[in-house]
Amino acid sequence: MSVLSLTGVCLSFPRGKRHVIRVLDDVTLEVDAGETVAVLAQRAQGKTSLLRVAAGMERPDRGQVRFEGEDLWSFSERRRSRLLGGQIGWVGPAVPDLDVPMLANVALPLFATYGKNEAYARAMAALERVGARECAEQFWESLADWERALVAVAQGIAREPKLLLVDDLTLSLGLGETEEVTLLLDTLAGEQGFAVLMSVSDADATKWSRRFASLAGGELLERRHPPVEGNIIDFPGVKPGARDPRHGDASS
Amino acid sequence: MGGTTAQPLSAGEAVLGLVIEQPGNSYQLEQRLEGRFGSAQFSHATAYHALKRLAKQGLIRPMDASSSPTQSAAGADANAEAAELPATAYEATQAGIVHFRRWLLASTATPPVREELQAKIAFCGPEDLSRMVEIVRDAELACAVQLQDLNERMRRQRLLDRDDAWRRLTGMIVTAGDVAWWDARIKWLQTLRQYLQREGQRYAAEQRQASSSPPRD
Repeated sequence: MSVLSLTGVCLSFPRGKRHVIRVLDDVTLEVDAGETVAVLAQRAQGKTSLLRVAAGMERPDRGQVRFEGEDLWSFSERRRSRLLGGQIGWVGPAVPDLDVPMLANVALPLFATYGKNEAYARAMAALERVGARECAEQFWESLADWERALVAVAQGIAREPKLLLVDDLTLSLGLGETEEVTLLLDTLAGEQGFAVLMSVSDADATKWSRRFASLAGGELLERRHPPVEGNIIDFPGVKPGARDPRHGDASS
Repeated sequence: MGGTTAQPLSAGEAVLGLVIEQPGNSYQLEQRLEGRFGSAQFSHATAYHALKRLAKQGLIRPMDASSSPTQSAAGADANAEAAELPATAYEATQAGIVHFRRWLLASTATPPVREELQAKIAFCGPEDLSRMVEIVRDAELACAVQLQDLNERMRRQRLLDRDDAWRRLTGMIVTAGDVAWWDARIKWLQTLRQYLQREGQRYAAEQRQASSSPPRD
């Protein structure tokens, strides 16, 4: 069973009485556990809307959005909002609301669920896992773009989600940084078994995704490949000895 | 140095470069060619024919059986398979090294753009728009497959190069060139699909309106 399943999803926004902007047109997409799927689209082509629909933040005009087989819109609003920020993580390049060190920035949203001490412990563990321990005491303004991206990923994985939605995180990153951040996402997905759906503006950011789809004019195009032999690359932030559950040990 | 128009990557130079890096037989070089320049889509047996040509030009020479390489960059599995092939291993001559350095340092220029799809769009009429959308959609899907294949090869190559920082860096930059090409291509096709779709819908609506409105005297 897929973690996320979109079937025949349509979304449009009215413009005046006679016009509508069709953002998603009969979009069907599935994302499995441990898998990274990249959706390449240009600006204003519905990338963020697609992720918002997947998160249950936006109700589609038509079609179904299923999380672990259950229709998201059959849930109560309370259950849906709990899901987001819990089992569904969101990673984007947004500036934090509070001017606090990054450890507190990652920990604060966890307070209500885990209490202060565990929230800090989880936040530090997440920062270490993405290789951003040294950012813990830093403020947002002092961080480089790629460090901000790592902190955003740490925030997204701190609650151990089953689905991570990543909104154009690599937009402002250079070539090597994009490679490292997307490699990190794929490695973490393999290690922790969560599904990743990421929107990207450039094909560079698709390198480490297991699947790739193209979104334009509301239409999502994808040609599915049979699964290929994968690999796992050592990454400084990933637990030593971690194995990709999808595949065997690539080093053997 | 160099003309005003760049030539496509020649199999000769690519194979010569690989032989200079590490001698090998045609099977081993075929594997390494695929690993390093997969998106150039060299046909099967390219390395074999290139080796024959390069040897004839005196740029490479056969090695003694005793000094043939036993370790291949393509990995242990490839070695095991290659060991069963009665293939001659080649090494570069001094003339080959000089030729390659001259090629390496020569300027390159913009490749020519010659594109069948552009001509089809240029010549199509409004009645062809729906078919054009299908053609563009197919082309976009084909590009997506190519990009995915490229990504998979890149992942495998990165695994082979994990202990070689220089090779990893040059590999990343070379792949970036390929990816940039596919990126531009896919974005052009996305834009094209969107415009053709919009125009096709407008044309269909006009046709419907024309057929439903009463004829004027």
